[in-house]
Amino acid sequence: MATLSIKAKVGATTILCLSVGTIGLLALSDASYRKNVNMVTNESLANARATYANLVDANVAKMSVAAEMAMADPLLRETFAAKDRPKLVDATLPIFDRLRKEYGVTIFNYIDQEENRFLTMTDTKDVRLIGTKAVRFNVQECARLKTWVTGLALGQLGFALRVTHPFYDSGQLKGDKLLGYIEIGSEIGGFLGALKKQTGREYGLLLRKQFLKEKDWGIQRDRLKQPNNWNDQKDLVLAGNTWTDESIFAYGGDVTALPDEGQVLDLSNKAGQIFARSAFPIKDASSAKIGAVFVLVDITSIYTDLQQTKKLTIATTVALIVVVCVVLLLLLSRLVFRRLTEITRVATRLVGGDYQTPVAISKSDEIGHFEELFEQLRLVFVNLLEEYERVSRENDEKSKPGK
Amino acid sequence: MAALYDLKVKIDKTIEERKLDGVATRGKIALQTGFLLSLVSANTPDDPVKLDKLKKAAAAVLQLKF
Repeated sequence: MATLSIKAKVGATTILCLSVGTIGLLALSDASYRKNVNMVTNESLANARATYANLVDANVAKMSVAAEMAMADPLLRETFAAKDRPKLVDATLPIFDRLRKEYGVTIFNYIDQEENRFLTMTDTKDVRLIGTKAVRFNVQECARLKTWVTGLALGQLGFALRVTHPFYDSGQLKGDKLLGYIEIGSEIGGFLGALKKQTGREYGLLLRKQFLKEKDWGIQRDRLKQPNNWNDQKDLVLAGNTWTDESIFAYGGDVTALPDEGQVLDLSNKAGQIFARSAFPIKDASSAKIGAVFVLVDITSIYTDLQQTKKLTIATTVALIVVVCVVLLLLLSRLVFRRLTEITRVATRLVGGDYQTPVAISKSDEIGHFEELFEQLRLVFVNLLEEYERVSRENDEKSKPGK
Repeated sequence: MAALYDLKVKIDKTIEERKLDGVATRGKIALQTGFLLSLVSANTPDDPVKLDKLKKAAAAVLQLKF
């Protein structure tokens, strides 16, 4: 039967115990890393959502004030009431330019009582839109409720946050005669820069293709001198981002399945940088999920720290294994093995005929008690042997002839 | 008769020729056989079991061939 020496068993057990301990420590490090990443990502997600909501609120307030000021302007009111489009363009242009430069407003529309587009200031020369029905939830709701409505709706560069007000001849929020509606908006793609500035994270805006038109998307990307990214993803298209590499925003999941509060998605490694990805859905004025804002948190430093901790743990454990094994085996050798070897040597010599060498009792511990016991046994054995030899001699002498 | 004793003599002679530690070598053999070589005399009756054990121990300790 193959057996291991006690030294080998002690060594193996020490290595096993310390290895299990190391694996446990590494698992703890991993769990701590995941917890930290989750915490940082969740905090960033919540922060991004709150910042996004604040931006929306601030923009709604801004655009609402701008709409009210425009409605209070007698020149705009009179020219809109007179349906004098060229004069209305001239009167609106300075206001629109100022709003565009100072507040990022990209949409300034006049809509008549029948909900048809009267004037779109984004491109006053584009006559294709003039007179067409503004089939949008916020316009329909504004017409139905006769009060201001806000929400996301399709714009030129994707979705835009729009504020739609009923436009009365009184120039006030209420009046007797409805002239039509005024709509002011800004593209939400522009929010990403503000989000990054306020939170220090990277962002991407993905929109569901089913709410967009491929042809219009291509035209707009061309106008902006950006490559057409319509076919980059299956159901989504990247409307804007703050990071250099668009591919990091690739998402094969269903954004409509994202909970309102958002969700941590996964980790992405791009050129040595590790990002935790999370996303929260954005809704249009009718509360349909039209896309999602993706949040990137750079966790490279956390990951590097973990790797260093892992390396340090392994190196420490290996050093510990060596030290513990050496110390343990030296201790065992001194306290047990060397003394057992001495007993074995004395026992071997005893049965070989050396009846004089005693077992030295080195210490009064467990092995010392055994040494004492063995010495007593040796003395009993020696006495028995001497007695046997004496009897044998007597018998031999008695058996000699003449005795 | 006296085969056990003859083997004992052969072992003693080998130890002497090879200048081995007699006590330690006999001790090793005794621990393997289970009896003391010093108690084997010319009058010791042959026991096939003991003889076999002694041969095996001598082969193991002294590499004697039988």
